Amino acid sequence: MAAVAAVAAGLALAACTTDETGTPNTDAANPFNQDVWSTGGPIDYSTFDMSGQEVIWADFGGSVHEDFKKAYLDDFEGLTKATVVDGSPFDYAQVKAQVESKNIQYDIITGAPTSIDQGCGTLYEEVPDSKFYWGGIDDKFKSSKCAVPHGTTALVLQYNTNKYKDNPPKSCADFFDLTKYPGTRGMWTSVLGYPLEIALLADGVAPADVYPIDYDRAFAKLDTIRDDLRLFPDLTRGQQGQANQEYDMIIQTSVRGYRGAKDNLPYAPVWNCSVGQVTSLGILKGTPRLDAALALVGYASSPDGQRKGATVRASSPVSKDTDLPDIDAQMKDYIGAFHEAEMPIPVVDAQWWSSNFDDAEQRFQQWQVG
Amino acid sequence: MTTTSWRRLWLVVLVGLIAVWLLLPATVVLPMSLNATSRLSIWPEERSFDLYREFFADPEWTNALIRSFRTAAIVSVLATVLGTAAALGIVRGFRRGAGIVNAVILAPIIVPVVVAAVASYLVYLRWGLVGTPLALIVAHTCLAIPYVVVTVLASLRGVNPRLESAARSLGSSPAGAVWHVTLPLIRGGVIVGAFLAFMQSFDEVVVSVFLASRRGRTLPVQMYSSLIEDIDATVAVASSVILVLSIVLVLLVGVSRLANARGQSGTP
Amino acid sequence: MPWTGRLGWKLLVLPAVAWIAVFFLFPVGSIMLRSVTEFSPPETGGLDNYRWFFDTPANVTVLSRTLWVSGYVTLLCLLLGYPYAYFMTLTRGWVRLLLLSAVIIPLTTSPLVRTYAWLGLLSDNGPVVGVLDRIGLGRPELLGNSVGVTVGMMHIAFPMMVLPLYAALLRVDRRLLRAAESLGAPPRTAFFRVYLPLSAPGILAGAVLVSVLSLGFYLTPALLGSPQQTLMAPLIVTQVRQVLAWGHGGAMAFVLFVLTLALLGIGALGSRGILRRGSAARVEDE
Repeated sequence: MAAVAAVAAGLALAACTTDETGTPNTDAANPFNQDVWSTGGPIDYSTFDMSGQEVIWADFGGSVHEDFKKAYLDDFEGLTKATVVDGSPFDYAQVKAQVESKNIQYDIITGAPTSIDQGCGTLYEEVPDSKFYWGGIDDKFKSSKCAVPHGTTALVLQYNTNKYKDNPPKSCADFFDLTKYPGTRGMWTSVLGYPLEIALLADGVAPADVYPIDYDRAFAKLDTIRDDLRLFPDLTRGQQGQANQEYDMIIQTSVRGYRGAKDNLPYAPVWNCSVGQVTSLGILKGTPRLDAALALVGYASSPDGQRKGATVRASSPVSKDTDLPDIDAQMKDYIGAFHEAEMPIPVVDAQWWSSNFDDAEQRFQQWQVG
Repeated sequence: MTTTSWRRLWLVVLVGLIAVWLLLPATVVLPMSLNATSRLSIWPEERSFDLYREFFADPEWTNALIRSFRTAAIVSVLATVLGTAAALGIVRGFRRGAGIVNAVILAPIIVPVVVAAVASYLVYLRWGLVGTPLALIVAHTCLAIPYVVVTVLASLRGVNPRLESAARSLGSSPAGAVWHVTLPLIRGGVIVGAFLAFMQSFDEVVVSVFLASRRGRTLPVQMYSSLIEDIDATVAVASSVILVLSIVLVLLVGVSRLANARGQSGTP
Repeated sequence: MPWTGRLGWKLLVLPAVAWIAVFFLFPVGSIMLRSVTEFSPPETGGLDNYRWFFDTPANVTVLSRTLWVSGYVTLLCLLLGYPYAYFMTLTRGWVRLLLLSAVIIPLTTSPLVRTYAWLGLLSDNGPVVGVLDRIGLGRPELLGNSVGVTVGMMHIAFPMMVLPLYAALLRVDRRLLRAAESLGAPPRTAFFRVYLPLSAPGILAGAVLVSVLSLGFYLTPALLGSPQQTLMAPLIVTQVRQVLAWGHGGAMAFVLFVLTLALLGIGALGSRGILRRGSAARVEDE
């Protein structure tokens, strides 16, 4: 009986809460209800009245979600009176399942543009010019029309300052130089840690010639450090490894590097060996809340959202006219925008990645296995 | 006599070492949870109860804990009933040819869990189950049944079927024979099976990440999203809380059983 | 009356079987079906997904490694678990409670947290290496190789061996041992020819659970080991969750499923031999 009651209560609760969002504003004068939001200029989301509208946002959860809330979600809710529901943590397999069964549980997901680009049109909606100001986004961060950039992070070589304090590494080649810099190396098991680019840069390939990627050359270079290479299955394990000082050098994201720096971990970045990557938002195809989703992704990538995003997440802005307020020196160390001149690859080649991701991931996995 | 005592000593030492090895990580979890910063380290440099305060103040964590208990309890009951019945059926109903039944019953633990997760997600989405507590209960029960069946089967095979026949020849109904004779004899197996079913559901991550609703997260899902994205020692707090609870539970059950067993000698 | 015959007993399995069939086999079956209906280029049809899997030598290496690891983890758990469970039946009262708690309490800690705990315990600056150093065994590397992975995996699998084994051993009447000894059998023979065969159902149960569990290990080997220890599960996860090639994932799941059933079938046949003959026999590991 208790079990039945519990189940009934659960279902009732689920039913109740969906009524709480109130009635939407269907007034014709409401900018949100117009067919066209932008005729080629920035959109002012503060004029939107989205009361009664729900948008479901899903990221990877935990502290990342907290950051996003502080960066955009809370402000967006305040500005437009919409309700943002948290769907985290999500999984790309869930996206495919939802679109296939036409039962959309998330409206927006965050991730690398590669996954979104690959599914553009099939799994994700194309974001139209009529309701999104594409002109405000720096061109080098754009990929497909489905991936809305809302920040960049970078995979940066970070070295243990205790171990190499007198003679710090200065380039990708140093990561592979075990004679001058003996020690352990940390890398992500996923090819999205851009080991191939790093290996090619270390082998002397000019940044402009890195794409299309020469697999044989990259794997040959990686073979030279195989014995000292400690691969971690997820970035958090990498962070934990840094906390335990398991890696003398590591290719880690700038965002996590910053978190480590805040915790006083003895690591410092070398921007001379870095690969920039956009973080994007995708809207699931067939969502019943398309307009609300378009408004939220628009806000996140607008100058206002970008400014907040930079200060909260140590993410580098993607919109053209973002004026960054005073950021402390420690955070500046990890924001790509301040090191653009040194970065060999400011942004990875989105076209190459969206066509070759599957192949690259499988090849890298095969290389790891041996 | 000396050889037997040597053998006994060797056994005691081995068992002792194993027990220490078993308990090591669990005991380590306690100091891990006392970390003042949120990182995971076995003996943190700065120690405080801050994380405990955060844990109990955060409804996401406390609700997840309660939800996990509730789901696991329901799953355990369902799986034990279904599984024990199945075990009885297999042993008494099939001379040969239990093969297919065995394959079906074991399938949930043989099939890679990530495939099971995506598969269930796809189908349950279509059935409208995703987002309801039913989804987790239903899926976890599938995953728990094999543990019950395997354990009860092992116990059951040690029971002489003639005991039941004897009871029936004394006038008992078939169902009564099972209830009064067989079940008490396999009580140990059923209890272990029920416990394994409970833990299976309580600790289940992969399927739960897929099927749990936004508001219906269980503790492992909560821990997963904490651990996968950032190192968060609140996970150690959750583990410590469960550790303390289970120690208390084991002590309570053990002490009461000891008190009951005092009158009976030589009973397992 | 049909209810007292075999059919009545057979019907008892129906609820469990129906439940699993509807809520598990049907969904999983649909995904395994995709192994012959869903293809990502360059595969186009038929058994291409299976060809993809077996044509890549690394895949086959990982598959055989997974089976091999499952085998030796099961064997190790059995070799350590049997004395432990046996000893538990010899004791009484609070000692037995203590031993039982030692097995149950790790189970209540999430495997993820346990693995992170081992990460700290086995690390180069950790306590285990410290103790080994102090007793003169040097400072071996325990992480990133098979040692750490085995320790971590065994820790998760061990309770699954001991608990069913213990439940079954409870049912073995030790008086039979004494009877054998009173008939002149030396203690060793009595144990191997009387007790061990009687405990066979428990051994089988524990071995089945542990071997199947070991086939699915994912995070533990990934966190504690290096890619030289990669097992099947991460490969499947990549296909299903990242590459979204469900045809590949379904094929791999099907291969693993069939292989496992085959191995279990062999193991069960072997153990039925033990049960029937009731004589000393080498325990077959799955």
